[in-house]
Amino acid sequence: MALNILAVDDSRTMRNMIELTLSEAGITTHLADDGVNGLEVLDGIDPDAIITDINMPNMDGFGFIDGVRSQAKHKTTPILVLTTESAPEMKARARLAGATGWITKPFDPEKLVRALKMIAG
Amino acid sequence: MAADGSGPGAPRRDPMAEIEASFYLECEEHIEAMQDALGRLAEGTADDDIVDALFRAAHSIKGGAAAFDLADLVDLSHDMEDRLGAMRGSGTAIEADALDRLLQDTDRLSALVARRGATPEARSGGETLRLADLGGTGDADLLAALGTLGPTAIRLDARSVPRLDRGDDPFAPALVFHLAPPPADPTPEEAAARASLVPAFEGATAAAPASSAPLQTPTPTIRVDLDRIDTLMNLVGELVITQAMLAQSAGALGLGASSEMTGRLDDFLRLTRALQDGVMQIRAQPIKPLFHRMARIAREAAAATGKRVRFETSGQATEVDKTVIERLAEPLTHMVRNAIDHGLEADRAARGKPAEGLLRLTARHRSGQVVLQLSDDGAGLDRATILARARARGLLRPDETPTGAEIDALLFRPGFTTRDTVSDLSGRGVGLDVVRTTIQQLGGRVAIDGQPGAGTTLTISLPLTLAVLDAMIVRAGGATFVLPLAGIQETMLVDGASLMTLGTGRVLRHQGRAIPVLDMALALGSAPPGPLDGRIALTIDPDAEDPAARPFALVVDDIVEQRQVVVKGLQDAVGCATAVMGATILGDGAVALIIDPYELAPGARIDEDPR
Repeated sequence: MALNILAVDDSRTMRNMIELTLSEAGITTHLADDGVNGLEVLDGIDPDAIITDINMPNMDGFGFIDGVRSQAKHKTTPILVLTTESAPEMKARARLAGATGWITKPFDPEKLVRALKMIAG
Repeated sequence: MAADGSGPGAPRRDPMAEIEASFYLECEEHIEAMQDALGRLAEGTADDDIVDALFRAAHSIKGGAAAFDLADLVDLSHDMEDRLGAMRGSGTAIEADALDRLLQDTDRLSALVARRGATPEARSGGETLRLADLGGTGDADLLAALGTLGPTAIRLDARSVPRLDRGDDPFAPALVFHLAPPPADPTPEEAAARASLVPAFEGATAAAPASSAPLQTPTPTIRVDLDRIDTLMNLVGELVITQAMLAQSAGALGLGASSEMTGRLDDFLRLTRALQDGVMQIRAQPIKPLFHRMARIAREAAAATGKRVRFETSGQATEVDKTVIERLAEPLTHMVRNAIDHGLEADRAARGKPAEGLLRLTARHRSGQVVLQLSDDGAGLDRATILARARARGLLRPDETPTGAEIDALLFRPGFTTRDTVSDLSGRGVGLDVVRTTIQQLGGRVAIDGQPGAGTTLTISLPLTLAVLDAMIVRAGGATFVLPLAGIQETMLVDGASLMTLGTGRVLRHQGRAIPVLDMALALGSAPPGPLDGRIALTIDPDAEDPAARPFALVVDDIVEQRQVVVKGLQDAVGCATAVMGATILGDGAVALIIDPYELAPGARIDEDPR
């Protein structure tokens, strides 16, 4: 089953790494560079899951998750937060906003792929 | 690569290595942005957005560095991130000490990144040897392959790194291979490696054993002082003038157009022209670095104004004279900042426009000219406001009713502004008058076209050849003038029957159309109004880059001849009329002014849409 993922991160390096990791696992990745761009790209695709960073310009991860969850068809789309921030308050805030799960950077490629397949499959 | 030559040292493209290389580039961008941001904070701007941007830059560097196990980079960026995080949202200006520390840390970050990006780095674990990509010529593969032959040390000689601030070609590194003296006690493997390499080196080297065999890039280059080329250019220009004088003298001696002398002089002219083209090509460079610089200016401007901008370019390979490129930097910077600051709206989403503003910068050659265009999809020009301001400042007579294009052109008047507030970024007003002056000094023209609500386009056209111009020499009002040949469509006698008065001007019926007609001497202020009937009119093509332009006609007293002239700049002349592009020395030694016909007749534009 070919998965369709939207990954949102303002770091070009991160986007490259996510795309490389996921494509090697046979997963199709769509990319966006901040929350606003993420919502735009989301409009055109129907992802099985979303990965997002928290710290981004224009619209951060929380704003983006809010935006995603406010859309009827994405009420239950799995959202994985991928970030270096590991403080409990951040995790709680992400959960409240509607994130499904949390992965810290630097990510273990296998873990990321496993987590995605688990929540999106 | 392991010392015995095994392991992944064979040449292959490692995607992760490429991502890491691109990470260092991204770091450099972040660091540059941080330095700029810190600079602005140092000037006293207390802006939460700037601190936010700094935090995110440090955060991004930390994230990537962590992914590639770069402990020193992680530690430093993490430390900076913590400090910046504490400053975020405090709303107070940062103390000078803290700022200094951040600046120093940014420099340290830069040094760390530079070190990592330039030299081969063994990942902790010692398996893979990664080399920074040396301009995509496959040198990395070559070095890696060499490395499989035996122990290899790679050292960067910074003296040979191209000087980008001098405009050196950054993509022509030279690889120099030294065959190290044989070790006193070689291992069998070292001896075998050496045995296979020595014949190749000895074949390539002609001199003493200690010398090296340089690996040349495909086209050998030479560095030349710009002054020497300027001297060459001037000499070629003098050649053209002298040829013209010779031709004049030959004519005065009664030698006809079919005489051998005239034929030889024509050959002479052709050779001179070819020589001039050749010298021009020496100075011509692709405009790409300027475009890159503008992309950076656009990024900074977008960040400073909190707007989102996509910057597109086309025609980066277009070649322009080096000195022209340098002088274009300032006006282009101004135009880009203007477009982002004043052109792009802050509330684009509400207007149904994409959140990301679009700026397009293009360059192309077009019949002996270089044409640059900067267009944005912003608010366009608010003609009502411009007109009101112009009237308020007394720039227009009360009875003047300018056309839409004429209103747009008002923006080029000195000191014109439609903004009340001084923008941090582009200062008071539009400042297009400075842009126009600079372009005119380069012998070019600039036009503006604004579609209200849709966007604005600025078009700059510059002559490719600064030195020599194909021209028509005319007499008007008792003086001799020079008009660029490009743009002159045809010459004809003015027939009184085809002259008509329309409004405050006169038009000529020509090829079924009515085109505005102007007395050139009158427009230049060198003669009183007189009859046009029976005189010679030159029809001028509409300004190709100005969509609102129409053809018009200039009436002169006489046409002297058509030939090439050498353009001499008039930069030091004070109070020059805007129509004067430069001057030249004619064959008889007299000085003639070169006139830009489009500047003579801005009123010739007829706007299709009623204001």
